[in-house]
Amino acid sequence: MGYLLLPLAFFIIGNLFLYCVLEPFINVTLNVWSMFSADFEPDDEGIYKDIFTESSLSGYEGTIPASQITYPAGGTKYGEINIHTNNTVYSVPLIYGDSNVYLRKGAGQYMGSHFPGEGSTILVCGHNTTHFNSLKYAQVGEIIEVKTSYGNFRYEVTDVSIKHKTDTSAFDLESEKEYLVLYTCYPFDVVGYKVNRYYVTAILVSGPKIDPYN
Amino acid sequence: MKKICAILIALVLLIVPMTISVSAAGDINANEQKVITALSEKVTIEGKTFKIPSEYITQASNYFKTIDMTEAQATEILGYLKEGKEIIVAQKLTSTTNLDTLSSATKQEILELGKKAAAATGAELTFDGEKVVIKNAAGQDVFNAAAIVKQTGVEVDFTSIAIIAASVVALLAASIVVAKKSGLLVK
Repeated sequence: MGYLLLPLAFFIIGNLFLYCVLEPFINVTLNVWSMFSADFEPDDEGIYKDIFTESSLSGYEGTIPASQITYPAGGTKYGEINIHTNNTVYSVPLIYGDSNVYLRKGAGQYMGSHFPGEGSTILVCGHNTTHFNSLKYAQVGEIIEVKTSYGNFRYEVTDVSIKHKTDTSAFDLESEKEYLVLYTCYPFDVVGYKVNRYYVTAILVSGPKIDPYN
Repeated sequence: MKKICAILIALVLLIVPMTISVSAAGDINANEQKVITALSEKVTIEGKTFKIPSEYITQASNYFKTIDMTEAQATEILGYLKEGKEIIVAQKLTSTTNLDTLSSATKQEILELGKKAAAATGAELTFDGEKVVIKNAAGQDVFNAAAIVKQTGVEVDFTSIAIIAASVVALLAASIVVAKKSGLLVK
């Protein structure tokens, strides 16, 4: 009996061990294979929308009636974030909503935060290995630009900090000053579950103001 | 408490007809403002007060910017809000500042009310046991009660690996036992 069970046990153990080691690569391989073998074009239309067009009001500092703005629903790209640092500009799509599926397309704005021009906090997150990997280069005093269809906004970085994921002191969603708060998981370039977040806080320097009641 | 607040907001959001185009006026009209004001009001229960988290109200406001709410709709919404509040106030809570102490039956009652409102308007409210999510008729999120700070790194689920590792250890132990009983480990 033992002569049968022992080799069988080691066979199973060996294969399970191999599976554990190769599991991350198996999924990637299967995904890549399905991409090549698919006989249809992936359709993201039901999830993602794009209403962003460059504003003709670049540099405008006046008031914009909210009635002239097309506001996004979840999964809609409505702007672009340009992080200016070290003579380089890192451009990231700005999506309304920050669920996992949206973060594959760009940086996601928390739906419970405000829009640029509304005079309060805009909270945006992005993946640390892709869209917001460039956050690690941001330094105090540098400029972050947000382009939307209704205007362009410039923010100056005032603070860079690392906080625990449960620590929300890096932002105030009821702030009466307009802050752009960008964050991502920390440390950068490390795969796995992370309990810390890397925050870059910037204050509004220039841009139009939205009148919510007109 | 967050679940209940989320459901209250859900009630509000879901009774707004979804037939209005997203290109509708982005301003907050008087009807929408009435609802936002009602949502922002503190509710007093047995001398203690609670309020809906501001981030939920902002989500509602942001949604209202994509629609044009009529007076009739606002009246209906305020009615649902009032009904929801009355259900909560009628409960005998051990802690009136923590709505998680509501009975399961009451939570279910409020949830069902939200689902009915959703079905009536073509929108869909889902509750996965942790959070409320509402999608408009176009399938886009308009409300999500998930945590504010998200996981933004590559997430690895260690659960399956842990289960497999435990199975391997168990199998190894069983093999040793069998081997011992069979005398295979005797020199």
